[in-house]
Amino acid sequence: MRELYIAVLLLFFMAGSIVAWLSRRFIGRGSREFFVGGYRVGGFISAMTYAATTYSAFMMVGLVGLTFTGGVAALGFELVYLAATVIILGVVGPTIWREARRRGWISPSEMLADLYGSNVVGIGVSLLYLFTLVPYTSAQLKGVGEIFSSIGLGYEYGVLFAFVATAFWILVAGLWSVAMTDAFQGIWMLGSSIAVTIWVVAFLLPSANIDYNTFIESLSGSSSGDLLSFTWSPQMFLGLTIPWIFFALTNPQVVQRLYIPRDERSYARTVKYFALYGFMYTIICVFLGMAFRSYVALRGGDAENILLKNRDLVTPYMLTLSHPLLAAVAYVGITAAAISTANSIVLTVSSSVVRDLYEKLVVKPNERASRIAAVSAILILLTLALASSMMRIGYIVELSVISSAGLLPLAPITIAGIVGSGRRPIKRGKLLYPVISILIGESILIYAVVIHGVSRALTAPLLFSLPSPVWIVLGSTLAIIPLIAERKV
Amino acid sequence: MRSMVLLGTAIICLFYIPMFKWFSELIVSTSRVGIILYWIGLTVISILIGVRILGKSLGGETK
Repeated sequence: MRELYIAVLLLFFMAGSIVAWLSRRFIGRGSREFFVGGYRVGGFISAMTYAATTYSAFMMVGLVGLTFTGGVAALGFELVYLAATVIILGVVGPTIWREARRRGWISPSEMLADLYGSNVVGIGVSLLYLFTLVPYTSAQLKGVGEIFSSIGLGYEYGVLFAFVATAFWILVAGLWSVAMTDAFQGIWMLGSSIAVTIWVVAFLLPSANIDYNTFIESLSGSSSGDLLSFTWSPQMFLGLTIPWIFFALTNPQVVQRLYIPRDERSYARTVKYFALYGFMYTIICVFLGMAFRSYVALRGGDAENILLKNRDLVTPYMLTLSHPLLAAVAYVGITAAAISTANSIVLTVSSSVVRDLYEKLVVKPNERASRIAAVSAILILLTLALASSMMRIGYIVELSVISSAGLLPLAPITIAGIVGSGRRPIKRGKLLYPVISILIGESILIYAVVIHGVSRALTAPLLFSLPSPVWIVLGSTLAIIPLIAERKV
Repeated sequence: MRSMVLLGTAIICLFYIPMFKWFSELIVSTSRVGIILYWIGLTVISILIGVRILGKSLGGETK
């Protein structure tokens, strides 16, 4: 198994590196080319990089485990994200795409700074990205380290491999190499998950004599209750879904992906292909969690209790039962999901650092110096992520879990800014509203963390039985209502 | 366009109805896979609405 994984991983890395190297022919000069591909990426590549950036190792590990333990509610959690995202990409996405090329936006923090005519907003948002997304990147590197560790290859080598692959595939041609390798990795992720599903349906379930009726019966009468009914608390469902339904507007790595399609037709293809990809991948991951729960429950033994205590072990345990080649391909698929998310985050956050911190603080920034700053920012961000992964800092994972909630206060100001982009400019005295909106949202999150701890900050009731994400959205929205009202006059 | 956006928002709200025990029990008693079909149905409708809105936002070029 170990040798097979190394062989498949080397094949994956070599193929990805060839794809990255070939993408160099597309890149032109300047930071616009390096960070957003000169706004001329085709629909298929845009869709695949959007999908591979969005769907991290969480899908094949976290979502499978979440379904295994909590049942069908995990499907609602993931599908409401997809449904909300497609609607957001239809309603405000075209304006973001159009305004990005009209106003020359490169980073999402630059977009907010421009919409509100305030450098303070841009700097503040850049710092927020740094604080929330470096731990998230660390968690991706850590995920690859854990895969290496579970196969007996050494945790440190896994983290180092993820660091090298991420850095190399970014630095070869910026957005072009990231997008092309994301497309390659996205195909691998979906292909390997389909292969695992075929194995489960054709071999695993029949080996335990599980047909449709026994499958349904085993899930309905599971030790955790009826897994085909809604078993989560309303607070957990609200707390986990609300940060996700605004993900397309709050997470810079996906906001920046809206800038890159080369024309309207490519933008439309991006949304349609992403919707199809997301729908298939979600159904597959949820099905795998349910199928394996049914299999484990009907086979008996201690496995069910062990996996219920540590749901992240569900997929690795399931893969130990498959052919080693299939397991190796699936493990590389999970590795690809982690790397494709990490490289997009690092590229985007470094674009914010360069555009909203470096170029705003330096008196006369030039193209060459900005390029050096970009490479330095990428390497520094990745080194920070590498260091925290190597030190196995426990709270990195917890911080990455709440990073989506940390970015949630950006949703109201992004929607208000985009919707009001064609209206009258904001008066200077009102520029503090977006900053106050962010501060209120972050204060509510910090309060929830202090009261309930990091692990329950999103899902525990905070006020009137509602969890913190509801109050973050409400608080941040209320703070900018005067601004919205003034623009409507 | 505005009515489509409102319809999309309403569909997203419908995703949360299974949080109410009476609804999830009702739907599961109708069909064991009722909630799965319910959410998949809502997702397909949302995608169709999103694509329709997208077509209008982009000036009908995607039709």
